[in-house]
Amino acid sequence: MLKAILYKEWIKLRWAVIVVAALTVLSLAYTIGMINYYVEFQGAFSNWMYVIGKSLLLKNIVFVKFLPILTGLAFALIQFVPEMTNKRMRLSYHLPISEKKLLLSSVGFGYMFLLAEIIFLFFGLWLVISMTYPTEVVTKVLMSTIPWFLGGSAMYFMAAFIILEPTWIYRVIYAVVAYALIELNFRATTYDQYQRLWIMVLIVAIMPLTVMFASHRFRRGTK
Amino acid sequence: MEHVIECKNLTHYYGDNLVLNDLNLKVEKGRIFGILGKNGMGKTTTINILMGFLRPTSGQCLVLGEESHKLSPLTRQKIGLLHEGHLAYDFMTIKQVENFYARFFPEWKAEYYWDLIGKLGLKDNHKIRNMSCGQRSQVVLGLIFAQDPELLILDDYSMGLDPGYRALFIDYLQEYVREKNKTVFLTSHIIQDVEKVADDTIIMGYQKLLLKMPLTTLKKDFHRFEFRNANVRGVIKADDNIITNVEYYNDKITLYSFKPKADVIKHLKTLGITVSDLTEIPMSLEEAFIGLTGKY
Repeated sequence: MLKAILYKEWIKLRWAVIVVAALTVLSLAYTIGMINYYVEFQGAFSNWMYVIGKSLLLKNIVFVKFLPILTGLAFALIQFVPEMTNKRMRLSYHLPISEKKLLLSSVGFGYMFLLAEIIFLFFGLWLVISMTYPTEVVTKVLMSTIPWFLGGSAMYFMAAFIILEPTWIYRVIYAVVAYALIELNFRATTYDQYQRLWIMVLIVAIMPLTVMFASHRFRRGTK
Repeated sequence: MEHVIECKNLTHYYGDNLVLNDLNLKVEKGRIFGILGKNGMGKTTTINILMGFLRPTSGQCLVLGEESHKLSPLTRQKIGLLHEGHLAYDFMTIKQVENFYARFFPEWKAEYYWDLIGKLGLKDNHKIRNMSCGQRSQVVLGLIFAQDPELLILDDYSMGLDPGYRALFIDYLQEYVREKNKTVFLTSHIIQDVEKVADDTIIMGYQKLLLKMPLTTLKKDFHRFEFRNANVRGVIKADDNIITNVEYYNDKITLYSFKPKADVIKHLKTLGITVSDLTEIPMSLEEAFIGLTGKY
């Protein structure tokens, strides 16, 4: 049965996964091009001043910054909007499988692809930056990207939760909470601004469970 | 007798608005039940409760022995649902949707599905999204048949179907249900279809069940009488144990009753009305339904 759920989610997601994979490769290629530009045309002093001193690298890897959050949103929309359109989720809730398994496997499968993208981006960045810069810079940049990846993960889970919620008023409330939580991850403009990442990791880790609450409300017939 | 559906003292409110009031209902195994009711009489609410998508305010609704809002996966396997509008995973193709559902049902009978789909003359990779409502109804019915459920709940199956697809739907449903001794609980706005397919009818009135009886009994025992008298307007009242409903139109009076003609004449006499021209007018199910529930 689990295979069948994954089959359904794959049918919805497959084109998006291909597009996202292509965008991920392109964003890394852009980062390579950008680093080469700094090295070739700006010289060593400027590199030190701006790339390291003014966190320029962090400011210019904008594709890497926003790709996970956009992917998270796109995956949630692609997976769950068709389910909620015309209350199609009723079909899924009537399947002979526990709701917990149904929802967590659906969300888990979507997140698996987002996580694959995040891992690819993380190691891709590590490879690309470490070709030019010393370990200290690589570590600073990579540590600074972790909140973006957490923000992408939070976006996926919260968007799924909001879409699966049956009433618009609750959707708006959840959206405000989601915005506040996700925006926190995109505030940093320089390296080393996040010291307590584990708190956000913990929050993101419990987010998948929120879909169970939305399902409970749907099954009660909340309008 | 074994009951497939059993609702006890079912009451439901939407906010302060009472929709179902102490509804009691038993559905016996192996019969086709047609549920009829005018708009706003709680038909959809009852169906939603039965389907497990609405928790009643109070009372209990058992479907195959389990509370409808917390059916176990094993029990859900035995219930085939047709949702209003012939809901289907429209992002899937004909083949994909069969592949998907087959994995959930150990008794999956693909031949029923492909037999119905064969009639459509569409390719396996045809997307459900690109089908007409009639074509989609065949896909949904095929999936329910292949599931081989004990109980079929069909919510407004005729919605959006042209007469051809409606007839096809009814033909297949009748053949399948009779052959396999299934229980069906269906609603439709087309009363003629219900008349064609149902064994029993359930008629819902304002907040309550008006009647539940075999269709043949309703047709045999429920009568419509007419006579003309300009002077008795307002004298005859409905719901006085003899007269179920009464309609006045100029000097024409139409009476509906579960009692035979002789009893009605006797009753009219007690009201001081002597009639010599009381005529029984045969009724279709639709006319009986209107007779019971009123035109307004």
